[in-house]
Amino acid sequence: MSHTEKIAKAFPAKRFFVDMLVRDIELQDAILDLLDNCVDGAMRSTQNGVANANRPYDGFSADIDFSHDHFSISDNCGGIPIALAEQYAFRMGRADLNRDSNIPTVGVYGIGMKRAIFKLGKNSVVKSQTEQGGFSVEITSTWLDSDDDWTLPLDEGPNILECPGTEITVTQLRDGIPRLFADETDFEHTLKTSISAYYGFIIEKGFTVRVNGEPITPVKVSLIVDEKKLASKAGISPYVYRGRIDDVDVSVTIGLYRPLPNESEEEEALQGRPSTEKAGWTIVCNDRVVLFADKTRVTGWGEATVPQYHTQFISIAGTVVFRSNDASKLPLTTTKRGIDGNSELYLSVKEFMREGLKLYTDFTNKWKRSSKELQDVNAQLATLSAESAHRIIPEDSWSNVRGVGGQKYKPNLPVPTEDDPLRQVRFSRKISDINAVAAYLFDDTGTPPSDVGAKCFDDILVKARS
Amino acid sequence: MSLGGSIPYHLRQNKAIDRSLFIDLLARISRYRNISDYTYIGFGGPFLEDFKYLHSSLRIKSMISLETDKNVAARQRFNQPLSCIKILHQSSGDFLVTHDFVDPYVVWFDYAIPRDLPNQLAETQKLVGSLTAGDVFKITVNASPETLGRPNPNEDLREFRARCAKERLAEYGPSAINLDDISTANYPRMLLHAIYSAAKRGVEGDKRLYVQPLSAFVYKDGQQMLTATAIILNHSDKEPFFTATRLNHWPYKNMEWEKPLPISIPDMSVKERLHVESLLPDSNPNEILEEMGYFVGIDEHEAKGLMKNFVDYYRLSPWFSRVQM
Repeated sequence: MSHTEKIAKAFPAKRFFVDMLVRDIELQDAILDLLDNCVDGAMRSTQNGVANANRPYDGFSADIDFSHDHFSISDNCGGIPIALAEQYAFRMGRADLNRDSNIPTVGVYGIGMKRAIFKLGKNSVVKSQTEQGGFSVEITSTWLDSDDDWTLPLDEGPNILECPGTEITVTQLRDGIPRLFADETDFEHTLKTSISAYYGFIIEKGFTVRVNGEPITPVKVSLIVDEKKLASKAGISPYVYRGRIDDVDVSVTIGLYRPLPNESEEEEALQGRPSTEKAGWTIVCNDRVVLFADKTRVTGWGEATVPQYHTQFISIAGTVVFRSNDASKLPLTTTKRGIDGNSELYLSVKEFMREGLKLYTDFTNKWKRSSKELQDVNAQLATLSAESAHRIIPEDSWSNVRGVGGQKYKPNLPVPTEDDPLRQVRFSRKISDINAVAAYLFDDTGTPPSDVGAKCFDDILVKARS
Repeated sequence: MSLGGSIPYHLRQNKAIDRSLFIDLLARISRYRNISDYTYIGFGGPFLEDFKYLHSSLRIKSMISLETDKNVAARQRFNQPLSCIKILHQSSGDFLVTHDFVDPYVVWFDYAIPRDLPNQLAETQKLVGSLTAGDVFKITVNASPETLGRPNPNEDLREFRARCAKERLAEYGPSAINLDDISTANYPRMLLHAIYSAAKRGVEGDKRLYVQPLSAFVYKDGQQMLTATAIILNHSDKEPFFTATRLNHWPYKNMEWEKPLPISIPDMSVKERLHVESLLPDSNPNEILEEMGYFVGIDEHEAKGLMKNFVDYYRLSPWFSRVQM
């Protein structure tokens, strides 16, 4: 009996990349992935020249433009070298782990650009220009449908683009995207808001992002710091950890970014009143915000004695910054907008996050229904960015951390004065009566009832004591 | 609410112009869909003024009035000018949760309290989410930057107001607010964009629909107000709608909601108004002001703007005067 050797096909199907992998990422994140590539390009370019340490991205920019029938992103961030384009840039997945080993980029998996392009549409052109020359590659819908063709022709030319950089244009947009890009559902506004939040650190450091021509302004959270009491640790100041764990520079900062909420604010939040609150943890990997204002277990809420997030904690905000030249050591997911919760590094850092968080949830609970005393303290305090706060903490106020190493600054947050504790005064009155008193005292019937009650009490107290 | 603006509702001349423009707009939309078959939902106030106008000029026969104040609702029941008005003692927020939207609707949420802006924007999104192709909505909000409040003496007024505006516009506002955005001239524009953001989010769930802005005005009878009207359309209905309504030729149209049009007119005596009207439509605002030899307004600049509006809107503006009975 003749023995014919049969083989099983094991090569990948393009449909896996084109139709399936794209389901793992939202359109907005796909666009942010493309923006990440621009910033990585800028990082590589700054490694070659002399850059201002505070504003290393000055002069670098990315332009995102879209309408109902096209999407494009173009940058001036150095471009893709032709050799790289031939060997790696268009492969699905990255085989070469040594590239960029000395630069703090975030690209690791070699999937971001391709997945983003497939998410957007069926036809695309990638043009890139470096000092040495440029190329242009077209990915057509026919190519996407073929499982046999795994190469793409590169059109080389000396002047594909005017300056070194990359330009990606996508047409034949996928179903549903023309409507978003025509801005019928406010997508443009949402995208701009996300870029403000997620690229705030990079934009502050000089990078320019324009969406349909409009430059994006960064959003960053600054924290309340009682500068005068930093050395004694007795004031309201952030909890800070700084250290280097497994070749990754880590810093954790948590504190209050606004005064504690009053009763009516809490009630309104419960009723679904929209807000711009930035409470929760923001995690930054190599300048890229990967998690913004997170309030879940991922960042330690509701774990190990830390309470779950609740509207009373609306004032607590923290930032964790990871920085490493080896992006594979960062606790990132492939979408780069999430945290790999099992990363050992992240688990070590989470201990500090929970410690700082617990400090502030306890503080909030002790001062619940912010008293006049706390308002007086709050009113005089300035807010500072996390970096500035680190800088002004006196060197001898840091304490060394055992185990993973590093140093921390742990404030002794003020507690309500014990010898004369606060008590709540609660009572209910008719709305019409409260309005009448509010109009009398504040000339505004919209004043929160708690303020009306407090004012009545305070006025009487003055009389009682006189 | 006691933040000024307590001019009796039925004596606000600029609001009356806005109302006339609304009815003019609805009459044009009626060439596309019969507005008489729509249900009108609005905040009628004690006299249900708008309801009377809508019924008499457009023959709308199904009307719902929302009123949060129990006493005002009782007054409405006493004043009820038409039998077809259903008077509900309910807030717009509760109404949106409980009402089943089944008919074609014209909805006017004429919001009064500036500090409730975040809820008003969220309700706009919810309202648009409840509406469908052919429905018309109009949102009015207070657009006076003074309502953003005043800081402690040692804090900068504009910085304080920008921060307050950021809180009030919440997720519907721009990520960064410039100090210029909260000036009296620019604040209405930023609010209009926020209303547009909220409305657009409302149609997210139905890919056939889009929000088509139609008009946006800013006026001042005491407090500065912004009012914006749009229709929800199917994409496929866009052409037939504009062909039937000829709204592209309507001089007061605002299809982009980029910037609201001012419609406040000067406060003139009967003698002044008769005189100015006798010069119209053949004179322009500059000629009129020159002919008068003085201006009506805080300063010449404002007076010119007001006179221009008068030239544009005098046909729509009501005559208010005292009647003794």
